[in-house]
Amino acid sequence: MPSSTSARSIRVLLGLAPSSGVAGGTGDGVRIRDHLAAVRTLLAWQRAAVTLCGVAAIVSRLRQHRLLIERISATGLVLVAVVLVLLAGLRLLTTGDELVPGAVERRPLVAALPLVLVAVAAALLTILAAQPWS
Amino acid sequence: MDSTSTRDAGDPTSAAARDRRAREHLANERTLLAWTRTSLTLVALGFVVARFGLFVRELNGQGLGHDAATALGIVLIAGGLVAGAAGLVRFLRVRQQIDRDDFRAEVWAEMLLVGMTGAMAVGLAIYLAVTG
Repeated sequence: MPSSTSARSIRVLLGLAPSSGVAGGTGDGVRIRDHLAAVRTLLAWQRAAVTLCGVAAIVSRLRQHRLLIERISATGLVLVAVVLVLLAGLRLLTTGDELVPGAVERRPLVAALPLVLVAVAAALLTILAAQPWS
Repeated sequence: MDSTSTRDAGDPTSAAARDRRAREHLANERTLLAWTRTSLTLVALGFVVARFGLFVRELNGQGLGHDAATALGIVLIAGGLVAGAAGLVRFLRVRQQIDRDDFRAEVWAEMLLVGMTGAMAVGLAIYLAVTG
């Protein structure tokens, strides 16, 4: 990632720079569809995060008198969703760099994030399911 | 506005240009549908949050937290509607841009959604942490 990425992202937000990229190489027709595909990916991430919030809301409302572990878990799930939302937004802003041929960058942390998050959510739900029902 | 940009060296009414434009319009339409799904998801979450607040209020009497749940649910539903409207405006703009061969990779609608969703999720996290 070039060092000017964050500065460019701010320029993109202000409308001073195009977001995805850099025309050329593969041609504008491909660029339009690539950008739209990146937007759909962002929207899928947003939906995943909102669904996580829904799970948290249901978890925290299953019983009248809730355990501390349930409160912590529900809050934790929503905080995970916040991280997802922000990472997906950052990803859309930096996708333009990846669409340039030869500038594709490996980001194993981002790629592994969904697995980590699903694991965390599964662990939380397992803990919740193991709680005795009052 | 550089409306003179030519993406095709050849005839813009050629079969290849028509095919390319059709694919772009279809991609734009898929994106509109993704926006609609996202908007509906937000509305559904708002409904769940507000309903559960009412449910708990009926069970164990009044409480400040349950009114907060109703308010948070209404905010989520309104946010879903705003997201749907932003997606529709974006769709119409991109459709025009494709027809005029003047595509701008704008992200204002996406950043609006990220900001709204993030803010509402932070609110939900605070609510769940305070009221359990």
